[in-house]
Amino acid sequence: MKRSAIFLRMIGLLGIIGMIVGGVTPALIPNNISFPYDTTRKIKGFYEEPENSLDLIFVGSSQLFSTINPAVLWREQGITSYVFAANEQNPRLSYYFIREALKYQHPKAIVLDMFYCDFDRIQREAVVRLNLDDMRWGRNKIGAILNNVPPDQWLSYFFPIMKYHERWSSLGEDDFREYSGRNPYKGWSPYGEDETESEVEVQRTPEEILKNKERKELNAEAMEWIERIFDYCEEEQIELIFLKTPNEDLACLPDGEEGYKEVEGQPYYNTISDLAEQKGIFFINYNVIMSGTGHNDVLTSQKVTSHFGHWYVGTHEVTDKRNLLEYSYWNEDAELGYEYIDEAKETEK
Amino acid sequence: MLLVSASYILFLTVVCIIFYLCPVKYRKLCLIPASLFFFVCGSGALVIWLLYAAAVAFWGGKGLGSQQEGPGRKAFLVMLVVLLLLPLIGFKWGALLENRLSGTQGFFAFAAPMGISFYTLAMIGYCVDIYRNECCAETNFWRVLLFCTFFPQIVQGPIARYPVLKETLYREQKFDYTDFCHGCQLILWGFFQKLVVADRLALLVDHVFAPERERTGFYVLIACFAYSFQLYADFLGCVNIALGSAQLFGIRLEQNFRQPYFASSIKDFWRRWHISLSSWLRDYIYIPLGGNRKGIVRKRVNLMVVFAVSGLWHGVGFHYFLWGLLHGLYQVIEDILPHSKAREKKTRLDILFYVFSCILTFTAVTFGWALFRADSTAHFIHLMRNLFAEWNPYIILDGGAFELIGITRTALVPAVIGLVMMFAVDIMHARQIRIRECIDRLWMPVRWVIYIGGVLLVLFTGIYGPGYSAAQFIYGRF
Repeated sequence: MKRSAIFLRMIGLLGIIGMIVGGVTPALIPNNISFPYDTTRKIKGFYEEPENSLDLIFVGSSQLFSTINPAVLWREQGITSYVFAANEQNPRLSYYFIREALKYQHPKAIVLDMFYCDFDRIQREAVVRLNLDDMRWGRNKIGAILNNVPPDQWLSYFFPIMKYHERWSSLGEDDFREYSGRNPYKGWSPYGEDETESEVEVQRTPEEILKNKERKELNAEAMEWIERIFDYCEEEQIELIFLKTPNEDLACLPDGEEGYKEVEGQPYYNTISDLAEQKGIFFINYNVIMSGTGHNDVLTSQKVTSHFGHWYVGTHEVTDKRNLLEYSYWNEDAELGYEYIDEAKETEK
Repeated sequence: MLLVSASYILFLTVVCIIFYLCPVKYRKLCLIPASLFFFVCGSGALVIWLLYAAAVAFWGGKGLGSQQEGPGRKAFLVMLVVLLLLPLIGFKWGALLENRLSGTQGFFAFAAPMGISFYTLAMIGYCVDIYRNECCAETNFWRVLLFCTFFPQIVQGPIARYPVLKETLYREQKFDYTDFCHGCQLILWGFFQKLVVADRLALLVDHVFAPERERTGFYVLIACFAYSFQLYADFLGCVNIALGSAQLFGIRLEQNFRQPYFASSIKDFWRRWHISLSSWLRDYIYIPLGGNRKGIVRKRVNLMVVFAVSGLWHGVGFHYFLWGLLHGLYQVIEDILPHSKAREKKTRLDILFYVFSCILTFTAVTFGWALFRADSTAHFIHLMRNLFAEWNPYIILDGGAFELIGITRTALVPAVIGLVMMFAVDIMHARQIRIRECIDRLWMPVRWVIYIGGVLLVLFTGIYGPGYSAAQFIYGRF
C-alpha cells in the first residue's frame, strides 16, 4: 500500500474519532441550568445579550452575583447591566472574564468585585471548571486556561473528555437540554436568607469598620492581576470601578493546599482604597456603608443595587434607556427579577 | 511518562515518525535516544544506573567471550552477576532498611530507577548466555545499550532474552503496514485492559484492601477475586502496550501470558503467567541448582528456593517472601499428589475434572494474590480473619456491597463487560485463533467500526484524567 494511502487512512480514522468525540463531549460537560440563575445560564446568557447593549458589566465572585440585581438598575435608572461573574472568582480569572466581556460589549464601565483581592493563587479545579466550562472558545479562554490551570491539567481543559468521560453514568435530563436564549436575571442570583456561617465572630457595624485605618499590603501576584485589569481597561478606554459588596468586613485568602479562609477585610480594602485613589478610579466599599452577609438576600441585594444606581447616576452621565424601543425586552426581563423582590417583601410582611 | 497516558501516545507517535523518516540502515539507532529520553522522563538522573548495567554487561560480556573455559571464567561471571545485582539489591533492601531504621519511606523508596528489576535480569541473562556459549558477546556497545534500554519493555517487561530479541531488534526494518496495524491494535487492547478493566476493578479492590477499612465476609472474598482479575488485566494490559509499541518498529517481544487462569495446576499456571520471569528463573536459577536431576528432595528444595527468590524479586516485604514460598509449597504438594495421565481422547469426566482443576488452581492463586496485595503479613492475616468473620452473601444481590464501598453498580459494568471480552479472547487464543489476522480479513468498513468502537470504548469508559492517581502499573513497582 502506498504511503500516501496509509497516511490518508490514518487521518480519516482519526478524523471520524475526533468528530464523534467532539460531538459527544458537550453532552458530558455539566450543564448547570436546573435553576434560572445557574452558572451555565449566567455565562451562556451573557453571550445572548445584543452586542454593545450593556452600560455596566459587573465581574467577580458569588458575593457579587448575589448582591447586584440588574433589574433594579433598569427599573430605577434605565441602566442596562449584566453580572458576568462566577463562583470564587479571583482577579486572575476576572481578568479573562473582562477580556471576554469586552469582546462582545463596549460598556461605560467595568465594576470589579474586590472580595478576592488578595487571592494570589490559582483557584481549585472545581472553581476553575465552573468559571471556564461555559466560556466560548477563543484567545481569552485559552489564556484563562494557561494562567489558571496547572500545566499537568491543561490537556483536560482543551480536551474536556479527559475530565468528563466518566459522566455517562450520571447524565441527567438537564445535560441533554441545550441552553439558548437570554438570561432574564442578567447574571443575578436571588438568594434567600444567607445561612453561611461567618468565621469572624464579632459582627461590626459599618461605623466601626470605618474606624479601622490599618493597611495590609496586597500579595504581589494578586496585585499584578489587578494592575493588568486596570491596564487593559485603560487600553480599551473603559472605566474601571472597584466594588466591595457588604459582607461583615470579610476578605478571602488562600489557605492550605486548596482551601481558603475569610479574614478581616478592612485592612485590605484600605489598601485597595489607596490604590483606587492613586489610579484615579472609584472604589465603593459597601462594608462601610451598610450591613450585609456576603451572599446577600434578595432585599439586601435590592438595597445595595439601588444605592449603587443612585451613586452611579450622581457621578456619571447616564442615558436612560427605559423609553428606547430596542431595549423594551429589558422590561420583560426585569419583571421576572422583580418577582423575587415582591415575593421576598411579601414574606417579610 | 506512564505507558497509559496521552504523553506516551504523543511520544510514540513522534518516535514512529522519526523512525520511519530515517534511512533504513539507521532506524534502530534512533531508538536509543528515544529510549533514554523515555527513561529520563520517568527516572531522571537515575538513567546512570541503566547505563551502568549496559556498560557492565557489555564489557563483562566481551570479557566472558574472550576467556577460555575454566574456574576463572566462572568467577568472572559471578563477579559480573554481583555487579549487576548490587544496584537492584541496594535500592530494594535500602528502602526496607531505611524504613526499618527511620520508620519512613525516604530516599531509596523513591530513588529506584524505573524497571530496575526487569533490565537487571535481562542483563544477567545476557552474561550467562555468553558464559554458556548460547550466544556471542556483542562487540558493539550501542547494540547492547539498545537491548538494555529499549523503551517498551523497560517499565514492566517482558524480560528480554538476548538470543531471541536480537533477531528482530537489530534487523533493518522496512515499514510493514500489517505489523504496524497489529501493533496499534495491541496497544489499543492494552489500554482497554488497563483503563477499563484493571482500574475499574481497582476502585473496589483498593477500598476493601485499605487497612483502615474493616470489611468482612463476602466483601473480602469479592475483593480477593476482583484483585486476581485486576492484576491480570493490569499486567497483561501493560505487556500488550509494550508488545504493540515494539511491533510498530517491527520488533517482536515475547508474549508474557498464555491464558494463565485456564491453568489446571500451579505448575501449569507458572508456565502461563509472567512467562519471561518464570523461564528466567527456570533457566538461570532452577537448572543451575540442579533442577530435577538430583533427586526428589533436592528438586523440591530447588523449587522452594526458586519461588522464594521470585517472592523477593517482587518486593522486599516479608509477605512477598511468604507468597513466593506459598507457590513453592503449592508445587511441592502437587508433586506429592498422584497425577492422572493425560488421555488423547477426552471424556466428559476428563473435561469436568479439568474445569474443577482450573477452579481449584484459580482459587489457590487468588489466595496467594491476597497475600501479595496485602500491605504486610499481619494485614493479610487480619483480612483472612475478616473473611471468615461474617457470612453475608446477600450483599451481592441487595446492592449493599456497592453502597458500602461507595461505588455505583454502573461504574463496574464496563469492567465486567471487559472481563467477559478478555475471557472470550483467551478462549479464542487457547483455540489457536489469531484474532488480529481475523480482523485483517474483514471488510474495511467493518474493521474501522471495530477500531473506532475500541477507541471510543476506552475514551468513554476508561478511568483516566485529572484526579486519577492509580495509573501506575502494578508490576511497574517491582
